[in-house]
Amino acid sequence: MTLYRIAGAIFGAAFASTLVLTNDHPATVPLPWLIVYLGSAFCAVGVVAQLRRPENATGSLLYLVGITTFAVLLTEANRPALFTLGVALGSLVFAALVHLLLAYPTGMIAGRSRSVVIAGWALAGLGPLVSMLFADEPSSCRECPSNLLAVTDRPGVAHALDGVTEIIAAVLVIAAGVLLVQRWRRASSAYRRSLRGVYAAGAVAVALLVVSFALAPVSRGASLAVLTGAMLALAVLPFAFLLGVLRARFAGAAAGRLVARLGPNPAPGQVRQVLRDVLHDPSLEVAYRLPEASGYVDIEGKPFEPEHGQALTYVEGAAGPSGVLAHDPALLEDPQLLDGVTAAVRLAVENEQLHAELRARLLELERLAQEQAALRRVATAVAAGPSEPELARVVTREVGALFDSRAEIVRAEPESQQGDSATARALRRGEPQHAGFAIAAPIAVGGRLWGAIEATRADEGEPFDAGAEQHLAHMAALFAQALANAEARSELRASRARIVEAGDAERRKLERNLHDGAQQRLVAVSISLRLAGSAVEKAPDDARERLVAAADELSAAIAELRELARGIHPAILTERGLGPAVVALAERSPIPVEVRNELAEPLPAPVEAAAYYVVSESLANVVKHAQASTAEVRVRQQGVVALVEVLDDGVGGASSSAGSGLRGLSDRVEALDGRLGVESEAGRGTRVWAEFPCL
Amino acid sequence: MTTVLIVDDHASFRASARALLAAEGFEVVGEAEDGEIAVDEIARLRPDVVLLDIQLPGIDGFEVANRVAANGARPDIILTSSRDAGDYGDLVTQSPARGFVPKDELSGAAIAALLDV
Repeated sequence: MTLYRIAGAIFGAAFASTLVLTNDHPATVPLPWLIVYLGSAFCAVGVVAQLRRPENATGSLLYLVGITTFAVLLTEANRPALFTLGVALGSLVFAALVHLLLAYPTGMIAGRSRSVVIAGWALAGLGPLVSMLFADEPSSCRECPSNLLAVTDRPGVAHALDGVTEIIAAVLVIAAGVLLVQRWRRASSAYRRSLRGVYAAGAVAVALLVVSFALAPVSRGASLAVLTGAMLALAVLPFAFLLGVLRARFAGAAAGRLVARLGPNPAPGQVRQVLRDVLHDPSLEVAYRLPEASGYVDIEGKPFEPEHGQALTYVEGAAGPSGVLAHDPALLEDPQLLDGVTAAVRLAVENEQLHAELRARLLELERLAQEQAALRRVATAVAAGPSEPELARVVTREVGALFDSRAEIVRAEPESQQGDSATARALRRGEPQHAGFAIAAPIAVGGRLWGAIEATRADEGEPFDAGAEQHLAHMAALFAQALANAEARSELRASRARIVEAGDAERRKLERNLHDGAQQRLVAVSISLRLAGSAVEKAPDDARERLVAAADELSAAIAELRELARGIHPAILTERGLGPAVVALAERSPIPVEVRNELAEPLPAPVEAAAYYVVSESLANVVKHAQASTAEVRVRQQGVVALVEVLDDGVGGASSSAGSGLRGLSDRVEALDGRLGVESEAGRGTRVWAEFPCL
Repeated sequence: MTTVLIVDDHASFRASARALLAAEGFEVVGEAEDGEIAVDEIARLRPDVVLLDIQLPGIDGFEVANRVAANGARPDIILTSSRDAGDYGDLVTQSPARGFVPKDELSGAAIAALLDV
């Protein structure tokens, strides 16, 4: 391929030179030898570029410009056929040049550039052909060979068509110029370096070409003079391209300069400055891989994030990448330069990697120490049993200091879960969240979402490090534990108060019952006995009657005292255990109660008592509220858990929160670390259950 | 004969007390089962003696005694209870009542003894 191209270029140059030398009519182009030179130079540069960068089409485009330049010289031929071909193809060089400029340096065109290039080729190919149909010979050259394509000789029409072609060409050149200016303005400084030479020469050439075209209708002499200037500018152009293409050749030299500047023992961080200078990219950053962790850090050991739009080039070490360069993407145009430079700094980067790793470890240790100290201070505060607002103040203060941020504790309300803030997401997902300038960690108390801690930094400050939200979660967990402790303490206090209150109420009831019941009866017995005593002689019948009445009152008093005593503590429970006591309850119940006692051995006394009261209270509720026809009591032990159930076939709809009786039972059960539950769907009966750990 | 109004919320005690006092020469002119009724009945019946239980539904016996005293009526009020007088601290002595008889020691003689003081 390359050999064919070299042969083609040599043939083109030789053929063009022959035509110039043998020409027996006036020259149709100014400075024909300059054109021979330009064709040869573009072909040569094209071949070199193709060899250096086979994947880049720029080489082919340069070669195409060279060949189309030779085609211009066909008009120097003496034979009409070759002359005609020269006139037809003479404009293609301009299309090729526009194509090359718009495609440089990537060799690719897209978008509006593509439209301009296609229009350029169409105009350069068709414009001369159409015009040639109407003129035997070009208006500029009376002595030239004849134009074989001419159908009719109407120079006026040909001239007008040439004018139209030139106007369209001018529009296309302006469009290409605008595109190139836009590209220049968007380009980074490193990218501009690769464009500068070509754009300068190209811009001068195009500007002069435009002026030349513009002058053509006015003054032929002036137009030709300016065209000559354009040709001279074009003479420089191949060198500009050659320089851009050969920049890769300087990579080795750049790497050498780099090593020389780094010296045998470079200071940490020096690699970055030297790379910035050598690669002419002031935005370049160097980051180092932490061998035992994922992610990269800068020379100070801080987590590294490349700027938006930066390209990354990895510096390969003995075991995977040791570092990465974040740089202007324009440098990717020159892979050989990048390869050379990264190879040259490999050792230096590995040295700096050790330094960065050490810094990162120190930073992590420092952070860990600060976090531990903050957690210790919070834990100390928690141990003092502070109120919730006090605790929130301590935690927000510590979080604010630890993360150098503003900290706030947010309750889990529906509105705080709306939106896309870190806090809203933490509340919705129940996981710590990181959102650049805000981090948040949820606070869950007893499996229930309570709220979240959020830390925020002002936008102009530094964003939070990656993983900061996980450290915040440690603080949230401690806070949640403190809240859970406080809730448990307050629940315990309330439960204790209820137990004491229930005891007091029980004693009040007992005193009332004794006073209104047995005591009144005994008073009556006392009065009856005294009346009988005073009547025994005068009215013995009356006295006997009073004695009988007194005996009846005594019996009733005894019965009441027995009932009362059983209410205080059932003797059968103490003497015979839970099973017989439950059977006794069942037998006293006004509705039929089936007892299924599967206990193999007695339960601990406090558990038996609590279980007994669960059955007693539940059966009383069945009779009072359930409108049940039968009830069932089940008592069994499963492993270390004792389970008591009371079921009925009544109306259901009971609630565990309603009624102080059930509340008192619940306190009693929970005091033994047990649990009490009520299942009572309306119409499906009621099941009250209690389970107790029995270790 | 000395007229008596018996105030107590237990019907069984009112019956026993009526029988006892009648047997011992008092004329029981009425009964009341709570404090409010007692105040009205005292004003209506103007008994010589009121046997007044302390623990009543609504206003208690001390309050009844105070109201009766404030109304200007001057029956001799004898407080009674199945509790001991000591259970009420100095409320019994601070009260305008003539005295206190424990229910189980109630007798015409005990009332007469208090009235003679």
